[in-house]
Amino acid sequence: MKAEAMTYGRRAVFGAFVLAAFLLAGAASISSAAGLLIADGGLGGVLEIQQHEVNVTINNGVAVTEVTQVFRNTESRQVEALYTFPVPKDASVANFSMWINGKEMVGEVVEKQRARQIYDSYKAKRIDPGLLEQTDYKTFEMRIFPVNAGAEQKVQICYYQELDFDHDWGTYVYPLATVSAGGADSRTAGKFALTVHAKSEVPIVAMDSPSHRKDFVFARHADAYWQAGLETAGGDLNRDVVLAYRLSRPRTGIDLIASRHGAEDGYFCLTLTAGKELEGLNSSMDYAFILDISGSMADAGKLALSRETVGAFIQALQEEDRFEIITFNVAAKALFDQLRPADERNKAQASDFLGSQQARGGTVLRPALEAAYRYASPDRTLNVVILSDGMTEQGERAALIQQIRSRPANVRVFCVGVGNEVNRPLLEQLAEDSGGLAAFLSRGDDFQRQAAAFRRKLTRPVLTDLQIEFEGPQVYDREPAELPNLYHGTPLRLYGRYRQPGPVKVKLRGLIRGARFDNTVELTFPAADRNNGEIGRMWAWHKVHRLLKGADRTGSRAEVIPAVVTLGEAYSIATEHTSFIVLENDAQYKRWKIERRNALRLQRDRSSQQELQAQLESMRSRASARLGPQRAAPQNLGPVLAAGDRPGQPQPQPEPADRQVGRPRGRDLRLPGFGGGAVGPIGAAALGLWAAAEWLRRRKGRKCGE
Amino acid sequence: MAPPAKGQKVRRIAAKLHAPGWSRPVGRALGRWGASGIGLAAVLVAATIVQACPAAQSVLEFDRGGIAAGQWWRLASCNLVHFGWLNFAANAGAFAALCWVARCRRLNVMPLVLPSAVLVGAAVYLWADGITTYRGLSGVSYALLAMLVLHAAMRAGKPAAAAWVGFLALAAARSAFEAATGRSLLPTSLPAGAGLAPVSHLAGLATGAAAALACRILARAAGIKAIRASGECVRSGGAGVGR
Repeated sequence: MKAEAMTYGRRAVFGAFVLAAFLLAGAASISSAAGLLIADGGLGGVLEIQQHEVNVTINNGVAVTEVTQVFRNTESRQVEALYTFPVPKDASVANFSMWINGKEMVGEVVEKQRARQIYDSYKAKRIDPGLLEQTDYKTFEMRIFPVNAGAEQKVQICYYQELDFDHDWGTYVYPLATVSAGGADSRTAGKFALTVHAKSEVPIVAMDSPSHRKDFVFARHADAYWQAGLETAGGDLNRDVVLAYRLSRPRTGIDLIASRHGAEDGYFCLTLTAGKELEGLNSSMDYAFILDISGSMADAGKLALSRETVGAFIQALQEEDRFEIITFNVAAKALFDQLRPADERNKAQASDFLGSQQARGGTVLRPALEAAYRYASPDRTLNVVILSDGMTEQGERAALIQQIRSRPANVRVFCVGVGNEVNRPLLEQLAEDSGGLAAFLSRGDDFQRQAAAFRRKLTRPVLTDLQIEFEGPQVYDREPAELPNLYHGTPLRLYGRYRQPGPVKVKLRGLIRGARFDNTVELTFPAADRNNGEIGRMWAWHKVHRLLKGADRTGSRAEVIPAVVTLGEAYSIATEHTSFIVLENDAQYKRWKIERRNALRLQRDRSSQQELQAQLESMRSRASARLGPQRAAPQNLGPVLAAGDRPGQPQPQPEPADRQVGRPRGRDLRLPGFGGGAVGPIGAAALGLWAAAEWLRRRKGRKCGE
Repeated sequence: MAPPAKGQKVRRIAAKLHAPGWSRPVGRALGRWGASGIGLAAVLVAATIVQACPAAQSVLEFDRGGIAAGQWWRLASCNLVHFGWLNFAANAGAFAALCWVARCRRLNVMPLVLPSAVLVGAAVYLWADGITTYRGLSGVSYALLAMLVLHAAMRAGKPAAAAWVGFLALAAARSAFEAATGRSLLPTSLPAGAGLAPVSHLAGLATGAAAALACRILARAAGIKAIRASGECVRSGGAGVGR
């Protein structure tokens, strides 16, 4: 039942995805201590990790991670424990529980200041409160008080996240890397176990762990359901656990998953994926690489990283592409002063130019961006690729955003954040506003492969100007309200709510290579679906995220805080304005007039999870039943592993589609076929010769006539 | 005044199709190229303007949804739109060369342009389901090619006529093969992402061949035995008449 992943034939593609995984997770995972309980105050110190269990359910690209940790206070004093927990990018903390007197107390989300006041009031009385707060966009802190000398403390955190997809590989990262907590012991004294259940409407064809390949066991129970497990005792937890799986959707289409309990309005998630038939839509492009050579790029080898990255990008360009390099610190400087073809000579010249750059001076990006815009031409797409740590001067940021918005037509801006300390929100915003993408590079990435993978995205914004409409008033509160471009290998997700179950016509419009397409597909919203409870939370999280981002752009955050708090409390989401508080018992919650919404929600979610687990267990059992000597003729099982087939390795047969988890609700899209009448160069030349011959014949005839 | 006899009417039509004489009065006014030449040049100018104006392309290209919604002009106008300058240059160059050959052979091909453009668009609409966006002048060029080749074959001796017809058959076979296999036998001027639409070439060839044969039938009906290289019509049992 074990399915080992990866053949050499797939390594190249896999490499790209692995790097993307590190890229996208890098900033979140390396810069802070992960899941460590530190005695706060006094002499400090780290509480020993007795047990560390992680249970992950990935349901159609949304991962629900439940982390249970048991710590022991090795200090000979009562301490207030500070638990710093970095969660991956775009993760939403959905539950915080702690065990008080052997009983699990589920936290509730309340407005941040109020949560802090409640916590402080208990702390003064030396009774058990717990508080989980978001400290920055990627780190949560949990305070527990008191933890007695020699006592154990069990905590559980649950967070939701959408997985990053690159080239059909979905990557899950469990952040463990611990580099910044001085003296922190990242070893677990007891057991560390990580179990992943991955189910998907789009078939999963391969699974692998680039970080812990030897430690993981993979099992494929059906096309729609894979399982992976890792268990160690006394292991060192100083490396992120990276797990990836590959989906295969042969044709461009929409997949629907939904969640509906009782008579409540339902939630849905539409995933739009570019299929293989669009891979040929490739064309030559122009590139303007903007390289930050300011003083801040001297730190931690950022400039060297940037140089290597730009160099690798340029090497990956094709001859029909054209490029230019612009460097900037306080002033901008261009290499060619024009776009030049990416031939060997120009590539070599670019390499020399990059090698001569040194990091110094301040950071003023605007003139460089302005210069890059001048390279735009109406008939070719110009990709402006900014490599920077985003540490621009404070006063420049608003102007930069404005400059991105007023870019010429046919210009897309891509941002590559370099190093582990980057201004991620700014770079993401710059890229998003221009219909581009942002990626983040950290040390150790393979730049050649990364450049090739990123270039694939640059050249393939397969669908642009996307608009989606649902027939009738059935659907509301869509997130995002406007769809971004669809890139090859990176699916788009649209969340929303629906009032009534039943069929709905979905009209999708957009452009492919400038040509319009208009597709209508019929999807069915289910009357009841309890298997996808995470969709509701992800919908709310996206709404919170959009509100905050929109407010930051307009400088009106105060206006959205009430809405953010309402959503946070209603959907139990810890945000910058809401925190989880755990009190000793139900009476204490009543005392503070805190509704037990999260407790109820958790109960429902756990019940759904149990149902799901029962289904998955049944699938596992069916797959197991096929093994063993009772069968008359052993089947040659297995070969669905696109990557990693091992000759002679028995593997289970794919589950029949009608017995897989979840009923597929996907629809293929009928996209424009581009057809051209074309006379080739040979034909044109032949006709030219015929015309010339006729002209000569005619001339000769005239002369004869004369 | 009595209506013209049936034979006279046919002869008049045949003469118009065969000789550019009908356009002479206009031609004199417009210069040595004649109305036909001006018309063909206008097609090329229009294609150039369309190529330089992306906004016009979206209005004129073959858009299956648009045609279904009643935008019938796209069936013909799609022939003026191209996928980039390279595609335009190859198609427009071929069209110009064929027009020149037609002029040298004193064959008025202008009346063929619009019908073949419409028929090419219609053929793509009816028989190329997978194509939602079509562009290119080559279908019309194939129509001109077929007409010119058959015209040349009709005027040549047997061996040469067989060679001309063989050449045309080869072109048709190539397009049929491309239509059947979905791949191009020779390099095309299409950019990546746009597939060849051989059905348009087949439609063009069929239209051109049909036009050439129609001319021949009409000419025979009009009693025109042969047309000399000078464009002079030789009537059965009589001297040359008209040009």
